[in-house]
Amino acid sequence: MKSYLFTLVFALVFCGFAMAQSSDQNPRAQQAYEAYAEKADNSHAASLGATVDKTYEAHDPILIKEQRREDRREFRRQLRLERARRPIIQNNPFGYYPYW
Amino acid sequence: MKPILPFLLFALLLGFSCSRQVQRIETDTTIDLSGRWNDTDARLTAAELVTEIMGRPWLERHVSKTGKEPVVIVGMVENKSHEHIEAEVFTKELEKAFIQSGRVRLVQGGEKREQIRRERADQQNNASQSTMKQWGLEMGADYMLQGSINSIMDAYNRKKVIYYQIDMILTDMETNEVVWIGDKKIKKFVKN
Repeated sequence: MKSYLFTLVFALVFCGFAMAQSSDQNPRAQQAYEAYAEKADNSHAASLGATVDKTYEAHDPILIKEQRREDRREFRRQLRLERARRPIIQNNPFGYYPYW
Repeated sequence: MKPILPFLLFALLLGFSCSRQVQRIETDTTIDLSGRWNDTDARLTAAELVTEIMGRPWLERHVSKTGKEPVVIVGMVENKSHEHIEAEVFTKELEKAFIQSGRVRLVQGGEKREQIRRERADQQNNASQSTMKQWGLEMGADYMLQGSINSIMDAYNRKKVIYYQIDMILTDMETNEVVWIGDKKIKKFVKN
């Protein structure tokens, strides 16, 4: 009987201690979790340990020049292709290649 | 037949002069070519962050509070710089430092964790009962490691100054308390 009482008192003290520890938890924690779980998508797993690129384009004069040069090259290449594709009009009064 | 010989020699010479040369070098050698983010930057960042994270009081505080080693999961690193920078190069170094020190435990996240779960699910059908792994016994992380990479570039004519700042943050999963912040700053002057 004595040991039974001792166990009961111990269990009560332990429960009281456990309750005191979690007493600071918001009573609406479960509701908060359910509301969050509804909104959460399944992209979470993919984001763990990953690098997400949100890069911006910095102003670099050298890169800009290189880009312009590349654009000019591409334009000339397209022009050559176009000239090869279309026959030259011999009787063009201005002597230019037609662009159209 | 004779006039072919000089051409042949010339072609041979041309072939040798244009041959590609490859040499093995030490991985800690610093070689800056373009001025962009490179392996040296990643290595310096990793070294600094490892020293920082392992030597700060959050670790002792956690052990004294709980009596256990902290469990960490690596979260997302945002690259907000002007270059493509792969953060895994230095986050893996951090993970390695956690494991090798034996003072911090690490749990798997991301795609790798999904793969493990898929395999565990497969075991439920195909593995023997004695070797089948159970669901619901994964270790919950105490902290999440997240980070961001920022950069500022100032360029004029053929000169530029590039500044990188890598910030890593360790946050308590339950309380949202930030327990550690580490950073690495790198500044470069590039003259073309």
